[in-house]
Amino acid sequence: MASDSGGSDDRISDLPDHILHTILLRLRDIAAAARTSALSRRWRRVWPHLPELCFPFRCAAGVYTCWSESDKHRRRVDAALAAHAAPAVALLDIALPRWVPAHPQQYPEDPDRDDPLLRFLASRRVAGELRLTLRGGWHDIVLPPCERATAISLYFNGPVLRFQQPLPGGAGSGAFAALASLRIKRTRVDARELGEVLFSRCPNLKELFLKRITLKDQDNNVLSIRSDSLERLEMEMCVGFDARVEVFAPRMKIFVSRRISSGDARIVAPRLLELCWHGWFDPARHDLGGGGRHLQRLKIAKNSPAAQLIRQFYSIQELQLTLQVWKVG
Amino acid sequence: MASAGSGDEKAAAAAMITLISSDNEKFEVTEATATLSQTIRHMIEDGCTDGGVPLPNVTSKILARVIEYCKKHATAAAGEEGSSSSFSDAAFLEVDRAFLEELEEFDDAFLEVDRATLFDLILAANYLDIKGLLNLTCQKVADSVKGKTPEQIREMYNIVNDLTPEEEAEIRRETQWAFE
Repeated sequence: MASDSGGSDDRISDLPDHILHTILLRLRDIAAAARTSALSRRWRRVWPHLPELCFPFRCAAGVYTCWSESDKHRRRVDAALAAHAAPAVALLDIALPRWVPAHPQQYPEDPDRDDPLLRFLASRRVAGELRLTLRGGWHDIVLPPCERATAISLYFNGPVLRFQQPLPGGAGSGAFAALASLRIKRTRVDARELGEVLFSRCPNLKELFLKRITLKDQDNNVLSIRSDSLERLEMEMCVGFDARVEVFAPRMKIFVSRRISSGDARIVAPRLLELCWHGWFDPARHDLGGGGRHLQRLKIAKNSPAAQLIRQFYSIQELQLTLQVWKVG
Repeated sequence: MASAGSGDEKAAAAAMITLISSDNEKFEVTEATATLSQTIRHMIEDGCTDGGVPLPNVTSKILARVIEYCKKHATAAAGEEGSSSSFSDAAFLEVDRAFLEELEEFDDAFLEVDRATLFDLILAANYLDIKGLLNLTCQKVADSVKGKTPEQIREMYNIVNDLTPEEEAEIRRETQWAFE
C-alpha cells in the first residue's frame, strides 16, 4: 500500500504530456507554466508545447503609473511566443496594454521589423481561435493571413487594422481559408481593404460581427460587405457612423442590426430568414429590397417606425415587438 | 429524488451496465451514469457492452470513486435537461443555485484524497474520458503547484532534478522572463 503522502514515486512526471498540459493550462498563468521547465529534463519539453496560449493583462493602477508593468507584460509575451515550440495552437489570446515602441520610426514602415507576435501569426501556427486586444500607442497593425485560424476576435483601441497582402509565390494561399467567425470591435479599419478581404480571402466565413468600428479614410466612406458564404451578420455602429453600407450576402440567414449607419444602407440577402432591427428604420435610407420577402422571424426593438419595416415583407411567421411606453403625468 | 422506478425516469433507469474493474469486481450502474465516460458511451453505441465492460486499467477502489462522481454529476446533467416549465423561472434559478452549491461541496469533499489516489483518479478519468473529472483533478494539482518555486514543487512531487548545472543555467536564461 502506498503511504498517504503518495509514496516516494514521481507520479506526476509519469503523466502523459496532454494531461500535464491540462494541469499547466489550469494554472492560468503562462509564466508559472514556463517556470516548470526548470524542474527536470522531462519538464523542459512540456510547456513549449502547450496547445493554448493566453496572456491576459490586468492593470489595477492607471495607465501611466503602471508603465513598467505594461513593459514587463510585453516582454513576457514576446519571450513566450519566441520560445513556444508547438506546431499548432488551438487558442492564442493576447491582450497588450498601451505601449510606445522604442523606435517609432520602425512602425509601420519597416516590413522586416522583428515583432514576435506578428511573426507568430505569420508562422500559421494558430489553428483555432485568435483573440487580440490591443490598446493605444500602436501604429497600424498589419495582420498576416492566418490560414488555419477558425475564429478571430479583434479589439484594437487605437491601432488601425490592416491586412497583409498575400505575397506572390509566398507560402500558402494567403487566404483566411479556415476562418468561420470574425469579430471586430472598436477598431479603426481600412474599409476598402476589409471589404476586399471579406470578398475574396475568406471563402468559408459564416459569421461576421462588426461592433463600433470606425473607418480610416473618411473620403472613401463606403463599407462594402460581400460574401458568398456568410450566414450571419451583426452590426452595431457608433452613433456618428454615417458611411454608406452595402451588404451583398446571398446565403445570409440572420441579420442583426443594433445600430446601422445613419447614412444609406442597402442589404441584399435573398435567403434572409431572421431579421433583428433595433433603432431607427428609415425607408428612404435603409433599403432591404434585395432581401428575402418571407421571414421566419422579425424582431423589432425600441420605437422604430415598425410598420414601415413590416411592410418590406410579404410574410412574417413570428413577430417579436418590444415597445417602450412612457408613463405621462 | 423519488423512489426507484418513478414515472419519467423509467426508461433511463431500465438500462443498466456492468463495469468490471482490473481486480474483477463488478459494478452495476445506470446507463446515464456510465455515459459520462465518453469511452463507455462509444462502447454502448457500438453495442459491445453485453457481458459487462472490462476496465483493465482501473482498480475497484478507484472505480468505486469514479462511479460515485459520475452518479452525482449524472443527476446534475439530468436535472438540466429535464427542467420543464412547471416552476416559475425564479423558483428554478433558486433550485439550480442550491444544486450547484451542493455539487461544488461534493466536488470539494471528493478531492479530499491522498496524492496517490489523486493520480489514480487522473489516469482513470483520462482512460475513461470523463472531461469533468479530469478537469477537476487536474485543477487540484494545479492549485497545489501555484505560487511554488521549482524546488518546492520538486520536493512536493518527488521530482528528481536530473539537469546538469549547465542545463539549469541555460533554462533559467531561456525562461528569465517567467521568473521576473
